[in-house]
Amino acid sequence: MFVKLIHLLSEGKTYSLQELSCKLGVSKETLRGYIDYLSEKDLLSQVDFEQEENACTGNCAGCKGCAGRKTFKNAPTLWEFKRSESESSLDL
Amino acid sequence: MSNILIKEPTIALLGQPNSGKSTLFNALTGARQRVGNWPGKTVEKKEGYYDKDGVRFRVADLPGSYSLSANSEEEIITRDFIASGQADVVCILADSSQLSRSLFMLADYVGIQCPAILLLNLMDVAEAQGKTVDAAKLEEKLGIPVIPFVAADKKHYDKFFDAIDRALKEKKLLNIGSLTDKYNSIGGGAYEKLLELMPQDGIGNYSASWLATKLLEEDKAVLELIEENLPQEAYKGVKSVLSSVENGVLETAGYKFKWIDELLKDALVYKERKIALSKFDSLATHKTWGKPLAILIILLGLIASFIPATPFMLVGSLVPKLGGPISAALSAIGAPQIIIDFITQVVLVSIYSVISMIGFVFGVNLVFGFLEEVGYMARVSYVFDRTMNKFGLQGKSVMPMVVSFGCTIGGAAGTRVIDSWGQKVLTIAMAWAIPCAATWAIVPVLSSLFFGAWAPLVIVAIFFVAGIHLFITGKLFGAKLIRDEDRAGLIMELPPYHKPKWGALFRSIFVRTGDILSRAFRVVFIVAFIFWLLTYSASGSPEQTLLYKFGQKIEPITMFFGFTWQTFLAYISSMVSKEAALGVLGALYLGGGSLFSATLGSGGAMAAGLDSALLSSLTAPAALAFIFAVSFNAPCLVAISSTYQETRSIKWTLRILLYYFVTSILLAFLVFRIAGLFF
Repeated sequence: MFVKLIHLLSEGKTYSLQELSCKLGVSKETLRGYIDYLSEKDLLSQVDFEQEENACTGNCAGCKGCAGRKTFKNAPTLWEFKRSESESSLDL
Repeated sequence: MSNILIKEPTIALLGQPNSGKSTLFNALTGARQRVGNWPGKTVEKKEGYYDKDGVRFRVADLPGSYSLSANSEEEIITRDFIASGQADVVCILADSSQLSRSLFMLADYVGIQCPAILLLNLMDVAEAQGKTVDAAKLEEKLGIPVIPFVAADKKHYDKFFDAIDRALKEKKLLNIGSLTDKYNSIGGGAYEKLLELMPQDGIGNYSASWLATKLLEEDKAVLELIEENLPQEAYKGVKSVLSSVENGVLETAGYKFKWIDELLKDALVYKERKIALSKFDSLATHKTWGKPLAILIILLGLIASFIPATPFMLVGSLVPKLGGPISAALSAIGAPQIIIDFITQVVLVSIYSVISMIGFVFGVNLVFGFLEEVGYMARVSYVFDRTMNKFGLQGKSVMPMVVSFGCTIGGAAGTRVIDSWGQKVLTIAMAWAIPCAATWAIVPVLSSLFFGAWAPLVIVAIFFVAGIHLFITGKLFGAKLIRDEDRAGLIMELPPYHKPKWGALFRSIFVRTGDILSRAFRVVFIVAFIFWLLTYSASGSPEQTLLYKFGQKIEPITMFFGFTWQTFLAYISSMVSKEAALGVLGALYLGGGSLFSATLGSGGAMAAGLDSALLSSLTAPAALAFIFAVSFNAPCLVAISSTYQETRSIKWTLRILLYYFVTSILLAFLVFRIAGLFF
């Protein structure tokens, strides 16, 4: 199941946890375990939309109320599978 | 109770971060602890002791680490300490509310030749989630004491102390067979071959099986250890076995996870709560129906904003009617004509524009704020993720696109997570085609002014044209920006649906609406003022003003594309800020500078309102052309500058700007000509 996850991610598609849970036949918690492991090994990294304090361009006069938000409320959490790094350590 | 032979037994606390080690350590040692640094490292070292039944127990809090690999300083320190034999018993802590994740440390401990106990910590959290764990079953399988535990509950540590006693007395090691047997499935019998080459009793606390496993995982530190401790021949044998192993790391990890699953299969009972709206969610995330549903919901949201908007537009239209009474009152007190005109033609027009906007700003923010709050916007991102791939973009580009629906500036800023420059620029170029909240506020006002009850249809048309525009833009820019790149796999975790917190939601929308409107008022006022000045003539005949003459000159050209000179100027000003268009229209059609007001007199013009002014001055095709042009022009000045900031390329910023300028005029032309056939 774990190795199957790697194969799925190497295909370059996007999967929701729900989908993966169904496809691999494992619980979401187990999946989180896989995600933890891959994150530790730097094969998976969380996409951080809040990298900086604010995306303000400093132009308050021209700014609109919601400007500068890089992401929206209750946004999904994204993890990216690092293809190039994994290619060296994997032979897929 | 304790026949412990060791004088001062040492307990090491092992576990992943957040497994509760510090809570346990502090509870045991209290003030009797010492904090320093591990020799030669920057990692904090915590040691202490507690006394029980006349025996002093030393406690070492090992740094929180994910497993026993050698990837970080914390892990190396942890491993070295355990290997050294300084600990008499290792207390492994796991987070019971996340056992599938937290037991990985246990799996990595398999093969360590030091007695251990397993503490299923945070048991209270697990129970609150509806989980129950059969500790006795786990103990049977693992061969070491397994204790359900709540480290924060200092009064119930008795089982913990008992387990420590037992471990020190019985010195039981963790059962390894059930896991190590799985390694035999690794290709070429590599595991067994390595096992044979290892020293039978291992090295220190590292058993032969643990060493063999680590070698399969390409653990460099272990490889060095082996090199130092094995005869040359054996070492060569190890290297040759390893050279034939592919993906050893992932395979062993897979077996560890499998082992954990099997452990928990019997021992963990979890009644997973059904997520609310799960049926809706399966439709919302459906491969085929997800997208149409999203489009439908967004469209309905946009149309729904007309509901709160209508009363405001009605109130707004009353404002110009104040023009008559106000000018009468002001002349009665002898105010100069120019001041009267300024107030009725600039101030009132600005107030009128902004009030007309209120309903739409509020409506759009409410609907989409609600969808966000509930968690639906995340589903929208998920469903359009694959669409990104069609343009050569990574799935994560969908996030800036969704944000652009609210504000293009946010969308541009959101592209910071995109590593490839080409994809970043393409994402921004496409995001400009997505009408932002300002457009969704201004355009309905303009459409209502001219088309009244038919306005929602105009919005629907704009929505679909935006979709087509997005597609064409994506293909055109993509051809130049996208190189064939490997796509990264993406995992998306969608948040559960939330019940909206209405109070907080309304409060934030009121604040946001207020902000937007006060800014809009400033823009409209300044723009209206400027254009009013440029067309003001005290004599009431605007034809003499410079701007008017300029407008007359350019009108033949602008009319070809469907613009009157006034709507053309309004269109240009919309590049600075969409609400500026309203200001210009108001000033040029209701102000003294318009023929309309010249005929009716400024009081009459105001009383008639901007809608009548437009109706008598613009044909339906011209009005539509103008609306489409404004919608698909550059978003605003700040968006242009953030595009430059993000792309760091004047060339591409100008290209995008020029492209949108040209295409918006082209669209106006097409709409004007096509609508001209029907109206």
